[in-house]
Amino acid sequence: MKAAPVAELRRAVTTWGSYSWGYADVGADIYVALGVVVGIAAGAANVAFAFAGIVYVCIGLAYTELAAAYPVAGGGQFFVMRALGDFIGFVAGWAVLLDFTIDIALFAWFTIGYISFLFPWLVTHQLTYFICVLATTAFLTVLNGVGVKQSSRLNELVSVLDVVTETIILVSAFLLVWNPQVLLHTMQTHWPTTENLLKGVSLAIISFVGLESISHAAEETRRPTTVIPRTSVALILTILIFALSYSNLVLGMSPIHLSNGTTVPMFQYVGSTDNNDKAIAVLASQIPGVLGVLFAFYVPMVGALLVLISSNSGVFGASRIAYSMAKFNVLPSWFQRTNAKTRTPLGTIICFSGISVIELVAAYLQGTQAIGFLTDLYAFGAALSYTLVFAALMTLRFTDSVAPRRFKMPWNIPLTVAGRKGDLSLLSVVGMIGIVAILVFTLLTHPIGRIAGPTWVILGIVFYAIYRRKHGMPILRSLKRDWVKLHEHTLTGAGEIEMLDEYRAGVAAERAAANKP
Amino acid sequence: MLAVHPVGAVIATAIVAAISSTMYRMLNAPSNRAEQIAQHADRQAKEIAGDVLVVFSADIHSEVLMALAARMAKGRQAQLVALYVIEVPYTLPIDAELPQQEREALQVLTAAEEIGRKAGLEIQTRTTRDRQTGPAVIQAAREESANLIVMGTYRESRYAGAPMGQAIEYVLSQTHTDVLIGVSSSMEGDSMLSLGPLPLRKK
Repeated sequence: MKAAPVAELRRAVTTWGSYSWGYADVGADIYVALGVVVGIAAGAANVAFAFAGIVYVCIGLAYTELAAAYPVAGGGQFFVMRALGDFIGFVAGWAVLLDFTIDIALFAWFTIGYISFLFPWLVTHQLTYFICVLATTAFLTVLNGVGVKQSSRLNELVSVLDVVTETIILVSAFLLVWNPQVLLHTMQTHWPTTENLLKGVSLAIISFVGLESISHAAEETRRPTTVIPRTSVALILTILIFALSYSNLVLGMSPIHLSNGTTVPMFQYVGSTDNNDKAIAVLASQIPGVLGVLFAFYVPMVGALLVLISSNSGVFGASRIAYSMAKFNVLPSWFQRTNAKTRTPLGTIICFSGISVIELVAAYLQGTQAIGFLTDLYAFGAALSYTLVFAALMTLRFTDSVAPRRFKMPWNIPLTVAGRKGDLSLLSVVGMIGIVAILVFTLLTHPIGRIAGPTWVILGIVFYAIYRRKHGMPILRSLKRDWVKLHEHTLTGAGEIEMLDEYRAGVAAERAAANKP
Repeated sequence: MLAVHPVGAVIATAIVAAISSTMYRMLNAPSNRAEQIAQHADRQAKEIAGDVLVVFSADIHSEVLMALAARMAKGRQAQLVALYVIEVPYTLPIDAELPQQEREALQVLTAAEEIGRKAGLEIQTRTTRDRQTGPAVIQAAREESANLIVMGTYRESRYAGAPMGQAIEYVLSQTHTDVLIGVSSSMEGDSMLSLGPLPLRKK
């Protein structure tokens, strides 16, 4: 008799590895968001970051609960499909794919932005600048296409380097150049219009995009149900501390005296179109003394490296998500194919990198609004996918209440909905309201995001409908799947034996209760 | 002149404290059952590596286990003692001249010293005479205050009613010290615990 196949244990990612996997993605966001948000939200930039930060904490906790309960590579797309079915699952995955393609484009743009701090002539040669951005995208595509894997060690090293660097920047700046009276004065005299404040809030959410990455690595993380809650919470706190600190710092720094004799508030200087693609480097270089001189050389390099890694995470993140979606028949099986020679999903990588190039060209054609175009779409994709993840979390609390959760969002109220017992986290309701508000702000205040974002979703739905129909699969209904077996397999693969026992006992009790006359 | 604002100093301190405590909490995750077992086993292994008595005789070949014990003891405060027991037949006085056996003992203990040196350890060697190996081992373990007795693969010329060999059975029944026994899978010398024939030297 043939032995039953044994689940493979792939638990190579350590605690720090899991953290740096997420940090390589989310950690880079503040390098992008700071200049963009202070440029729009002006004296209320700290308020915009605080509002987005509250929503982000809720999203982070929702991801933490779901990723620890379902340690699978699909992340948000899987959670939504598991809770709300194939169609909505596809929409969530498609929104995440939009974010990953924007991630490639936007962060490639900022890689050159930070490099341009060291080579200022790039700023005045816009076409050369843009060619460098395209070359960066091509370089990452080739790198991933030929199978050069992003080194976890590099991630870990850059994460340590960046956390230490940012802490030193913030500590030295708060000690040496920050004044609370300047902060209050800036807030009073430069309070933005309501439209700009709402736009600022919806853009501030981009400084917190990328929590998906921890979920993607969940399948390879050692002891995922214990490690992921810790790394996620640590990531949430680190990023929140940095985002809130930078936004208050930039508003409380003394005005800068330009060479033409004029004086401008620091936030205006950092948020100007000349500087918003290298905001952290500009800010760090304003620290007086040797530190400022050192930072002027060092921070652009660390920034460029971190955003380059983040751009790269967009390339492999997109191929990973597409692979996971194809596995569940919500995308064609073509996305699962690997090239015989390189053993990588070459077609998928080229496909999504190609979409990024189209987005880059579209952005370039917007002139000075290029970054705005990309960030609008980024905010739309994030807000849509996060909204669906909240809906998934709330649903799964009732439809799959037996799945053990080592971490739960706090403030729970026990409820019975349609005969199913479960509980509802009040924090998830707060988060849901917050992210829906941000989605509405995005649609109201971003002229490009309002059109391009929904267009992306509609095109995706058409593509999905054609694919499912062609293969005789339902469009709005879901395919039948044995979720119990799949979850058992996931827990076995993760080595979570105690959780597996708990889950089996829960399922057995649920079935016994259902069979009771 | 730079002036530090007190509020700025408080915020700077709070940032350092918050980042440090976040990292500390993340990196100190509680261990699960598998990790607890692994940690506990490792601690135990460190404890038993205190004083180790490795036994050799005409029938007991402990070279491979000696190398393992040396690796175990490396980097810890451990004392390795290699003991060779010469069994003197009852037909001879206990101090009878046994040049062949003494030469064999010398050769084995020199090799044991070399094994220890390779692992970067200085080891003690001693030869003892007795009518039987078992009581000699018990006596030596007591004198050396051994935490662990290591007895390598056993090859007895004839079966004497003790499946693992009389010496090992005796030691197991008489000592309160932990005993690590290497049971060879084969008598042919192709087991991992048997030294086997030496590779031919290249000319």
